[in-house]
Amino acid sequence: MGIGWNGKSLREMLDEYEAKSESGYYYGIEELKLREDDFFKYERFYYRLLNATLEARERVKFACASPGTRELGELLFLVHAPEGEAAAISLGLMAHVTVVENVIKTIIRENYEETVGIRDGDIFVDNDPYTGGAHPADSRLIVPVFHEGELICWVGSISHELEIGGGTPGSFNPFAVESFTCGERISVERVGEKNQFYPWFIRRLRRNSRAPDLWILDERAKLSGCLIIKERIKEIIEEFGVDYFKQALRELIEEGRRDMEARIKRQLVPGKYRIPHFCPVLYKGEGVPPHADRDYIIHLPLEIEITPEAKIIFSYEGASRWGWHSFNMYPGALESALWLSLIETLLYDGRVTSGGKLQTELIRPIGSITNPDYPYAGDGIPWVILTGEISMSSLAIYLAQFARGYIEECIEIGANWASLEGGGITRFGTSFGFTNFEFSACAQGARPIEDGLVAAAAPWMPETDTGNAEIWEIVLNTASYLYRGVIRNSCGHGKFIGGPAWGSLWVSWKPTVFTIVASGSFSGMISYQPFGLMGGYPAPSWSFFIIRNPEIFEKISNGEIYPGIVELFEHTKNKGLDEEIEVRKGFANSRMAQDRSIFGIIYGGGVGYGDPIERDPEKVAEDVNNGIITEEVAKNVYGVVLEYDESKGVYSVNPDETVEMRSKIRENRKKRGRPVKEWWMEERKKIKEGKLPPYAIEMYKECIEFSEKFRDEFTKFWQISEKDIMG
Amino acid sequence: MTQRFVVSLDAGGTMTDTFIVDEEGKFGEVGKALTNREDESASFIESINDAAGYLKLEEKEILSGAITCIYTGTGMLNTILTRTGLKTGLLITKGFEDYLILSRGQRWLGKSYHQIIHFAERWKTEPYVEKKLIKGIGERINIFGEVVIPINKDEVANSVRELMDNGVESIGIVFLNSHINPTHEIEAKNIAMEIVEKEIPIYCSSELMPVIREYSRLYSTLIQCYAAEPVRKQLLNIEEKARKNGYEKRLLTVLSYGGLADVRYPRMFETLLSGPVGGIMGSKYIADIVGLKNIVCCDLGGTSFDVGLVVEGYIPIKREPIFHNFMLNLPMIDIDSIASGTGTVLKIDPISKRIILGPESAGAKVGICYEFDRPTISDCDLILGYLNPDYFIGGKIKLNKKDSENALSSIAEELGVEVYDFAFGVLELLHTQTRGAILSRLTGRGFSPSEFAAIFYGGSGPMHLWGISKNVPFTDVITVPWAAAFSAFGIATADYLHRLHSSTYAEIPHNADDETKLKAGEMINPVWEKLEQEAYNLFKMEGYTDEEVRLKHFVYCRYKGQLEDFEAQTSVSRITKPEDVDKIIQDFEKAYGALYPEAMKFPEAGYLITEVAIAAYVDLPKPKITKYELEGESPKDAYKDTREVYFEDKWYEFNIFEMKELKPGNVVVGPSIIEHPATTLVVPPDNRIRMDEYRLIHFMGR
Repeated sequence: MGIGWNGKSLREMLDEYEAKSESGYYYGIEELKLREDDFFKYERFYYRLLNATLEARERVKFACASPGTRELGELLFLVHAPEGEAAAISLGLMAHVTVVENVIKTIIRENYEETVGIRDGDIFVDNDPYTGGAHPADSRLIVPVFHEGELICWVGSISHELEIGGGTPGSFNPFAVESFTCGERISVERVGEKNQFYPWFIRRLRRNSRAPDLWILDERAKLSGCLIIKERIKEIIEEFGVDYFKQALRELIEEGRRDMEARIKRQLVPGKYRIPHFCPVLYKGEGVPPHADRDYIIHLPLEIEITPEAKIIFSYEGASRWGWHSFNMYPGALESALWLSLIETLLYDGRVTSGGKLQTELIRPIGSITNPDYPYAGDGIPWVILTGEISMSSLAIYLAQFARGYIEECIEIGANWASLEGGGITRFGTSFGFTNFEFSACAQGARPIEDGLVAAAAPWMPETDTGNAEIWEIVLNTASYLYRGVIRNSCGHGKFIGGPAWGSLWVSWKPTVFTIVASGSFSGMISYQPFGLMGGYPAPSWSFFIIRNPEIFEKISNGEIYPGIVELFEHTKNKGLDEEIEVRKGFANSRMAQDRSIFGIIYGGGVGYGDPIERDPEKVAEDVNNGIITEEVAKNVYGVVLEYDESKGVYSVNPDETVEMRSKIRENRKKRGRPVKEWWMEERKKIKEGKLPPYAIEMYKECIEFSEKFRDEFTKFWQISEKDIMG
Repeated sequence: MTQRFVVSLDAGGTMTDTFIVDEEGKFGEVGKALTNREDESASFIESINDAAGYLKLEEKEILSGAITCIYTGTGMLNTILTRTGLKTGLLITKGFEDYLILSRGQRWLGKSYHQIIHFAERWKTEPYVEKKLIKGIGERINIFGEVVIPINKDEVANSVRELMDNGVESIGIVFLNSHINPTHEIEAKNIAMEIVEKEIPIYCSSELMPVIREYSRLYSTLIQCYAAEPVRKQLLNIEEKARKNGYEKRLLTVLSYGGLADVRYPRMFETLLSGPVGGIMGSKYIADIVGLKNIVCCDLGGTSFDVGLVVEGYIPIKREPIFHNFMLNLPMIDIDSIASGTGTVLKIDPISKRIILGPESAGAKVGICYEFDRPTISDCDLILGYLNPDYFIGGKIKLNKKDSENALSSIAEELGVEVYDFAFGVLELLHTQTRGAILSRLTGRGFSPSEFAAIFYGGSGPMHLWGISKNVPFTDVITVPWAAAFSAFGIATADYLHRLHSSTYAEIPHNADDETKLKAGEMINPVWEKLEQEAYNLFKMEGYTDEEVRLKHFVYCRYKGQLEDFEAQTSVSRITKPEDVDKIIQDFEKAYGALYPEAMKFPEAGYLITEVAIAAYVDLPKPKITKYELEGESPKDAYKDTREVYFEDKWYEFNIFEMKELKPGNVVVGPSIIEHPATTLVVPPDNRIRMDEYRLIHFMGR
């Protein structure tokens, strides 16, 4: 006799679920009987369940140790049906909505029920992307909930840990080219029973992290949250009855599917939407193993097909192979990322359950970066690409909504992030390590109706937050902030501007050993993708820099240099001190910070919407007065000529000269413009003659060799033979 | 001989309520006047006059006999929301001048689940200080309190001069880690004070709220700079008006953590979120009298439902409340508020056909039945017969039942249900949401409802207490005849109280030795001493001697590594021996254990005390809840009529009573409705109520 519902084993339940869901309805549920019989009771049930997850998160986050969870709320709680699908999801790290169900399915498929047994009070932990998650930094804790001997449901939780060991301090390990050095790995393990952790599990965390207390307390907090939800579920079953509970779980999930279906039908125009996507990998000379020591480009074209039957099919045909880098994506990673973009743009006011996922399909070519056929591929930070995927898929939805006239809903989810990680030994002789998650507030792209916002987007969770500098300084320990502010001229220009970038600057202060690692979206090398909307400009991507000469800090200290990032760059440039500053528009591995070294990060901006010369000149003047753009950019990009009133200290618009300037810009554009056919001919010639940049040739060769479909499309579009590119 | 009174006024956005209690603790009807936004001193007098009328007295007789007059208004809130505060300049650590633009990235604060996950729904709050009035000052102090960059005094002087040239009327000073080492802020303030020629308010963040998290400290400082003085001026104006009418004492106002302070109190920003605290104080007062230790305080009004707790006779405080899309560093009575009230708008999701309640509210426009363009909960109450269309605000406002029926019918038709079943179902949803708020409030802090009594108040509290409390095993469900003006009553019961907090750093490792424990004392004792002195000084300024001040001590403790500390009241007021530290740790473990399961404890990590606080009290005369002789159970004197009322799935004939005529000892058996000019109490068929000797109304099963 199994532990599942009505004496079935979990394996039997999973098989039944999969067979029944082939009908297109979750679990074959064609009628929402409970809802139809008494929708008020049904609503009450849902809110009791949802409130349990929200309560758990709100309650335990205060007891966490890592700023990621306490300060920013990077924590998620869910209630799952026995087969794994989620029926209630808290706020928080919503990019991980589907990853817990993958862990549950692994527990079921690998038959833990018979081999090790699953009992009330058991605790399972997993952070292995190979079994479902995005990267090892995301630790999932799951407990079964029993009622009179039946496993009635599961309660799951996730948090992002700020230090998980591995080759470099922090949680991302961006230079780990195989899974072995991506940090401590816990692969669907039972780590406790009777609601208590095994002592050896706690010891394991303590021995494998540079900041173990952060991880240990986060695990304790998640366990406490799950236990709180378990209590609430008992109360709900008492009130509604166990049969109602079981049926309602199923109906809620199916209702989520229906809500998604209805929204796709109403808001999106069916068709195929294609978004190009590239990611440079800058590993050469960064201390990686010889077989990974090169610079190259990853290709990840996204095609979204919205079918008339209201299905969304995501296809990655043409993607690069998996590689010797840390960005490979095992199954849970992409699934979660894409699903989040649909929740935030379509399903937000519907029933947010796993059901909606049944309206989607994901094509991940085997052996590609989206589906490695090597179980030990580096998977420390696939978010370098995944956040881009959230952004790209939101852009496809944007275009489909735009075409339908839902312009107020159109939004590109800003994902222009970068991360500063570090660690070492404090002056008190203790170890420390951190990921500074203040980047959980990226710039938001412009919308068809208004400007984007600074510090307003985090594609992995809806509750954006930079946190307090005073809190981050506790975990940074040896570094103090010198700057936290907006970066001039960093927005995507347009009729509506993207949110400007912001950045931080620190000084290291009497460290014993302090190494820094930088990473971020798209590797930072190129402009942020997407490249502007409806005539808007792209936004600059992120960058990292370090200055080791203590004299620069002395100049900041005595007031000679303002500690702003732009001003610092201007100063070094003007004084011919360029060699003093190491700028890295890409990953930086283990940069050693000494006493009074200065280092900083610019987090990247949001994309613009529409033609900049259509922006209201008064708004342009306001942007200059607020320090968002400079007078020069106002003139050259927006065609707005400003006058400065020294007595008031403000800029105002010169209307006549503005009209003239804008007319001049239009004339220049006409001169530069040329027919598409002409452009196509020129590009084709470059391809045939092998005159594309070498990295691009290498990337296309690899993809053509790997994907027949891509080869056919590429050669057909450019009207070339395979030999023309492959040589 | 002149009669003596405690007079308390609660000025809301619409009405100013006056509550007058005589020396024997008796209180009559609530005085009401429309709040005069232009001149609150006018509505102050008018409202007192209205209340005095019920006592057959003039306002001068009331004010000249007043032992205390307490006034809480919306001045500070309105000053901020309407952006009519002082032109404020800000000195901030150089490099952080964009802080108000970045706004911590929290573009979602205070919104609902579905709004938060809607990515397009992001917004910004316009900064309170113009960019050009924010001046960066070269300085830096690190987390150890060490000077990383010395303060640039010339920069301070030049910045202050520029600010003065730009006509600022107040200056805030906020430097990083000033809660650990305030010397830079103090130096900057001293320089600024030398430069400014006229007296303007200059505040350091470390003097207002010296605790970690610079964003919340910044906003608290700005609120103080921006709004404190205009509000103080308004309150002094009211005091002046009171004096002209015979009042001889100082006017008091209410602080967000439930204390009272003279309107000359320096930290006026602490009055900002005092709106809902009156109800909690009133609940506590009643609880003390009738011997209840644990209470859930439930305030259902037109726009929101507020829930607070009294636990073991103590009101929990939160330190970082949300206001207007940002967080403040401000001790406030811990109240959860959800956008569910009787003015809450109901609509149908066009895709899923689900009923959505709120968050918009009709406010004073009630619903379709009065001046609003969309149906609300009040429309449901009206068509079901709970609300009397001819007795709303004592009949001053007539409600149109037909309009409500038409509007609700068209929605019900869309859902394929009968209009009355639909309306009743909507009420059930409201009850579920509000009950959810109560339960999450209780269980979220580790309590069970079976240990608590619930008090319902607010204009709509009595009408819906039957549904909200349904199936919740409270020990008692209580309301009062003066539920609609309960806030004003609560204010009259408030303590004269100041809470003072300060950071410290005392580390107590697991199994610490005696020496280490005594070292912790060296860190904590001087801070407590400093806070006590500060409290004595504040009270001295308000005319009280040290002997009249009572003190309570608190520590904010955490397991080492955690980022949040947890408040624990302790009987230890000075650490003189190692056992005092053990007692403090015990007090912390007890408070922590009430919040979290055993799995969340982590004593092996050791303890860290990062902040200590004191609460300083002075006793004030308070209203007495009179104990009356019980009369018979029959409420016949209060009986008015009968009315058809829809309940659950059918129509009943409900008996209608007048609340003012109920006598202590009366029992009203359902189905009944008890009407009051300002509220309505619904007693369903399976319930009854009993008015006790204190005139408290207990709701119970039939």
